[in-house]
Amino acid sequence: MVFSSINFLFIFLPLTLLSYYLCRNIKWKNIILLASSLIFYAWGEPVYIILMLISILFNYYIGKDIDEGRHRKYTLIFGIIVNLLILGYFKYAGLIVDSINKITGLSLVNRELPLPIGISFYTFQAMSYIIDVYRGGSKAQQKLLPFAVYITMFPQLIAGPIVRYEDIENQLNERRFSGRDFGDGVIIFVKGLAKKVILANCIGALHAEIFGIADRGALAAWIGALAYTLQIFNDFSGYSDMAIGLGKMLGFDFPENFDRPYASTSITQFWRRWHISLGTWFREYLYIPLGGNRRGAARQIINLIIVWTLTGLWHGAAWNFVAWGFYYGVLLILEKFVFVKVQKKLPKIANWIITFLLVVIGWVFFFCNSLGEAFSYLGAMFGAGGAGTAGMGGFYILAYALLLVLGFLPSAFKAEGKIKLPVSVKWFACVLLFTLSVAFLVSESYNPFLYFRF
Amino acid sequence: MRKNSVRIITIIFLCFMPIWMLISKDVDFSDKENRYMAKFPSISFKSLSDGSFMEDFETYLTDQFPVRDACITLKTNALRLLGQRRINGVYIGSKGYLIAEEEKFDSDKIDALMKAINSFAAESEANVKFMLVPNSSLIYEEKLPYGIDSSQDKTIEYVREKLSSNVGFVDVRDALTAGKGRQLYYKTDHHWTTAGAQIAFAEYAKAAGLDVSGIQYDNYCVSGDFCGTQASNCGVYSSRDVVNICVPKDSAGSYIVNYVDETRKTATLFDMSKLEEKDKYLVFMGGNYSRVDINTDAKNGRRLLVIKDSYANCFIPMLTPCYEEIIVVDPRYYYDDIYQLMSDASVTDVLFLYNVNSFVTDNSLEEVLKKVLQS
Repeated sequence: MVFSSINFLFIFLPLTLLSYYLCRNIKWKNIILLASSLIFYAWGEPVYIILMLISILFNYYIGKDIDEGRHRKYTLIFGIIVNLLILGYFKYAGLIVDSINKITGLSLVNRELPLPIGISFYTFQAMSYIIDVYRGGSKAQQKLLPFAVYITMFPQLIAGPIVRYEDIENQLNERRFSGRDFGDGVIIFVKGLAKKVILANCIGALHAEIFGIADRGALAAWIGALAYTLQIFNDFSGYSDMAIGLGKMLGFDFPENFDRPYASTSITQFWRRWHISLGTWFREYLYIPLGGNRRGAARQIINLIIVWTLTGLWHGAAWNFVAWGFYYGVLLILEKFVFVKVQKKLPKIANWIITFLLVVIGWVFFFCNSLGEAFSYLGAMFGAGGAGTAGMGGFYILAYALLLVLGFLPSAFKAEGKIKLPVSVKWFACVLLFTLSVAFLVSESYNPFLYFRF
Repeated sequence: MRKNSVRIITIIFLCFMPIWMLISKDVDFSDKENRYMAKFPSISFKSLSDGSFMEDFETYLTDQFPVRDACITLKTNALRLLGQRRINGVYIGSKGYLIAEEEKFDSDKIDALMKAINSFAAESEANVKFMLVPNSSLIYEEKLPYGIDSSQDKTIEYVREKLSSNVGFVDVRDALTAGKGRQLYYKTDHHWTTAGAQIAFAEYAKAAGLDVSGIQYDNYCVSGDFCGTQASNCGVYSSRDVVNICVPKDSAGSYIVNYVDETRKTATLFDMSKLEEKDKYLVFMGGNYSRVDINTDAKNGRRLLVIKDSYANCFIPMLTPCYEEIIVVDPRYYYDDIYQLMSDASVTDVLFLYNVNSFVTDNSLEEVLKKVLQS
């Protein structure tokens, strides 16, 4: 199930909230939450839910073993390896087999497994749990129910944020409930819904159209890349907002996942503000254990390349994602060791422009289906494809200017705190945005059948 | 007290839509969308385990959403406010014109089509004409949004060059452009108006050597509130169109129309009952049929075969004084041997009449013309 569906908004969510708040004690609330989360997951993944249940049991017992056992280190390594094998088998087997076949000329059979929804997210959460327990940052969860709630909780189950066990440990057994939090949650949720359904989907249509043109000119290619830049922000941060909002409605506090990423004036800053929970995960559980920046420059460079290549790979099982991660690894190294002084001299606006352009170029690697395609798209952006259908560029700019501006605003500015709106205005805007979002959702299937077309 | 009232409001908000969705009656067929709406999907182990039930259930919910039509209007208006000038494949042009996005030109496909037409013309002894009518996107190009150009000039030129010398190409572009002060295309529909067809008819008469000097035509307005397919497509209902019909003077009783597959005969090419329906363009010949024979009292020995799309429907009534017999074939619904038909009816003239958008996407003409070669 996804949040942006009529089924979720008008059937699943009301039923869940009503039954959740009818229960008085925390244990029953957790049971309701677990049950509804399993239904939520099974709705989209009726078969692989078994895999998730196995993962929950496995990590629960690994956590207990680490807490009690003598071979703590080996148990942890075993746990990590099994988690990575599960992820590797379901997510990366295809890529590995394909690549081996290409390099060696063999023809190993590639069983195309569909990727279980959310596996990248819940596997990383489970790993954060066993590592936190090993390090002593958290106590092992003695009861299965709260642990299962942590892994399956439907707000963040399928698209994050990746909530670290440490951050949420206490909330699993004790939550504060207040009308104010609930109201805030509703507003954050609706904001996210509107970002996803109105901005991301409309801007995404522009990107898809330009991406589908073979002889797109330079102007159109730039508009297409810019559109994707704004689409992915609104899509992803919209989803995170919805997750955070739902969390608040249920009494949880999830960490922020995006903080005005496109206002960044350096790549380092960008990655502190984009998909924060993933960046934190890699820093806490990979970069720092590898030695981070405390073992000399050479080691730091190697660490950065490892971390960023894997970050790329996490986003998808294809070489263009690896290239995308590697690109950021290289940029971050250059920034740390070469351009630090230059950046300090340049005015803020110049740094912003450079950073933004580098990010836009990065997304080209992300949205193209192969490296070759990415380079030919970049070629078009820099004039290699000739003028192409240059005329359409003007149409796109005029028709989409307002949408693109609206899509950019939340990625670079924060209204909260700066503008104090009266409560009534806030709720009016909330109801309006919700109504609009629902209208957009319902009309997605609007497809008049023109039998007598001509 | 205050706390309780907030709770009650929240619960009402939560339950309002679900209850409305539950009690509202399912719609079977939507006039606006001209299609059957999704029904509650069947539940089985298979449909649950492969997820098809869940997908169908969401389709069902959106199709049967209580205020679905209002939602669509709201979205359209929001998109227009946001600056969109193309919605669902329709350009919102100036002066209320809703102009269909042009279909993609595929040279391989056109080459195959032209080959089929050329070999058909080479085989037949009749006088073959081909009329390719541009769409409103070319004639009213200036009404398209900024930055959008028509490519139909190029398409028509390409087709004309591919035609063999056996086929006379009837070029109506200049005449339509010259006459575009009158409304030649519907604002809300993808068809041309009777005025457009009249201009094309004059061009055709010249090309086919018809003597039309003695024929007079009457124009009648039959409807003033036509809201066609383009309006439905994009959800913009602000314009209305007038539907005119053009009838040869004193033609009443001068011809008999035979809908061959339906074995139904009438004395008119206009089905006035369709004016009660949403798609008022169906008034012309009642829509598209596989084969329609028209026998007239013009005993001049000329027998015409029209191979066409729906643009011909408002054009054909003007032809009745000029031919003794007119056979209208719509390849999309026609499965018989067209060569047999040609010889059985001793056809003397053939007219292909298509509009550009349907011609470049046609999937049935080639098949119909091929059948002859196989036999």
